[in-house]
Amino acid sequence: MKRALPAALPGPVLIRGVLLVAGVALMLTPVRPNVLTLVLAAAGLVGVLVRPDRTGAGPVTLAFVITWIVADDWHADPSLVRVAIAAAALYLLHAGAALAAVVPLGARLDRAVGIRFVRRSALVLGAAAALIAADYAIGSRRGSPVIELLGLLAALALVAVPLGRALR
Amino acid sequence: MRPAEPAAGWRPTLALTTTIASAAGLLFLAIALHRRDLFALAAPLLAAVVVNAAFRPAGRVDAHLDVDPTTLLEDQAGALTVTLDSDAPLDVVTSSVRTGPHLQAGAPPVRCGAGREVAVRHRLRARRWGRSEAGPVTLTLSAWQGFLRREIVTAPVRVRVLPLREQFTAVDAVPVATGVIGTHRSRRPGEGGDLAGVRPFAPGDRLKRINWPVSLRSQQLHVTATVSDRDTAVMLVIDTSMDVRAATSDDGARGSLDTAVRAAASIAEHYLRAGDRVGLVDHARPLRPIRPSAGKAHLNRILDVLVHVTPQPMLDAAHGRLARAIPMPSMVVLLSPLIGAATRDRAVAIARAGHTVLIVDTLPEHIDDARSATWTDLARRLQQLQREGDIARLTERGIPVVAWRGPRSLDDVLRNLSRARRAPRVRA
Repeated sequence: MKRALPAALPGPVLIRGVLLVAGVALMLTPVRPNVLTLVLAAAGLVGVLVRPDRTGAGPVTLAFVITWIVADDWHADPSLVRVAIAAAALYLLHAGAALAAVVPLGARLDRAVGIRFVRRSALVLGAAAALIAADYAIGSRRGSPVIELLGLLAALALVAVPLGRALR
Repeated sequence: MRPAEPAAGWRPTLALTTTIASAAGLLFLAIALHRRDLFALAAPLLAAVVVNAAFRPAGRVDAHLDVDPTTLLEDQAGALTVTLDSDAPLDVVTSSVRTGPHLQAGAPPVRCGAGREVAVRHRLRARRWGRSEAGPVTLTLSAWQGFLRREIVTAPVRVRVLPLREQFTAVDAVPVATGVIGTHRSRRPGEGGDLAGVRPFAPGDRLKRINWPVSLRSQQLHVTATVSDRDTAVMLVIDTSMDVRAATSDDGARGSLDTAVRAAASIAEHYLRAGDRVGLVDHARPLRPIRPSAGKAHLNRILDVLVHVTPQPMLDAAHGRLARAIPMPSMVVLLSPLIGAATRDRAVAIARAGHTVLIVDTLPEHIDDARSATWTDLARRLQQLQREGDIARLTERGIPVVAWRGPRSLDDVLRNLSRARRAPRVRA
């Protein structure tokens, strides 16, 4: 049976445009992009653009992280600019996919939706910049295994506690 | 401060799961590989979860659906507004509307808003007469930039789509004028507006009726005679026993029943506006006829019955009930596609009972032949011949059959019927 496709409107297209730009930036920021992971990332990007509610940002993120880690060697130290661009692109990919999943292509978007998205993204990126700045300011790379384990648990708790409260 | 209520109904989306998994994986790798760039990559994702958690959705969410107006004419546009009142601000409110078969939601059917008080407006267009429902509207509420999601489905609102009434007009002449006052010229002399002639003065004539020019010329008093104005009772009989679809229908919205309903609405409006009395009865199921009455409220009553009309098989006892449903004397307008002998026989029976009967042929010019088979053509031709024969026999019996062509469709027939009623009758 022939099924009519909904006409795409500017708002949803813009959101998917942000997704596309973030995805392409993620593919290009590693120093030496790998062909295999590039193909995986591109396929994931197409998936998230077409069906953001089903695919999500997972495949693109996985491909990017693998490429990023194995780009130079396992202990590479990329420049701060490159890291900042990649971090912002990764966030925009996830936030854009979440928004695109609830905004169909044929939906008319109020300005309020875009304004809230931009304001919240600015807040998140500001908080992330503070975290990254603090991390780079400390400067130490290695600590004892116990401290590292505690740091990992603390980081996980940072995510789990507010999440648990919200979903309670 | 008002205590936050549990966020009932909110559920995490795939995006939240992916973000948390990505953040946790990057953190683990950052510590395991001693790479702060990986921590930097995880930082915005962590911040997204923490910052958004501060704006967690809580409290009540009320949704209200409103349709303006709830009574539409065919092809008329209306508005459906969904008002959402939430204690917590919402990032995205996606509103998707579904409608019944008689309505169409204007493009785009999905709209998005945001905030505490969100009003999403959809356009509605009435496609076809009848009772329909606007809604339900599915509201997808998103919080945390789409990381949490909740759905609310509003109850639909009933909408009445009235048949499109063409600007129907007809001649003033009616074959059956009854009552003592009205707008139609009767054949009886009396107080009225229409000239009947000039005649010699007789005792009882009013002085203001004296025609002075004629009296002076003839040297004898003459008066201007008028015919009395009477009203008429129009009984609309609508044939719902079948609905023959037209070949050129748009969305299947044109058929014999559509024509019948629209014509009945137009005729009823015309005569009710002229001050006459109009009644309505279903030919197939004359169980609850509307007795002839006048006024705007009565027009609403007739339209309300018409929007409920559906094709239905003819009752066995329909004939007796139909005869009782038509008060004497009435001008009966039967709206039918005239297929089958039952309608023909009943029209003859009504005419024999003393009513003036006029048949409006509602059969479409081109019939939908989607289910054509080998013998369809032949069967259709035979049926057409039968139908033409029936129409010829009805006309011979003084029952005119006229196709519905909108305004002035009935003029010639009404004139002829009026002339026939005025003619002297000879009883054998």
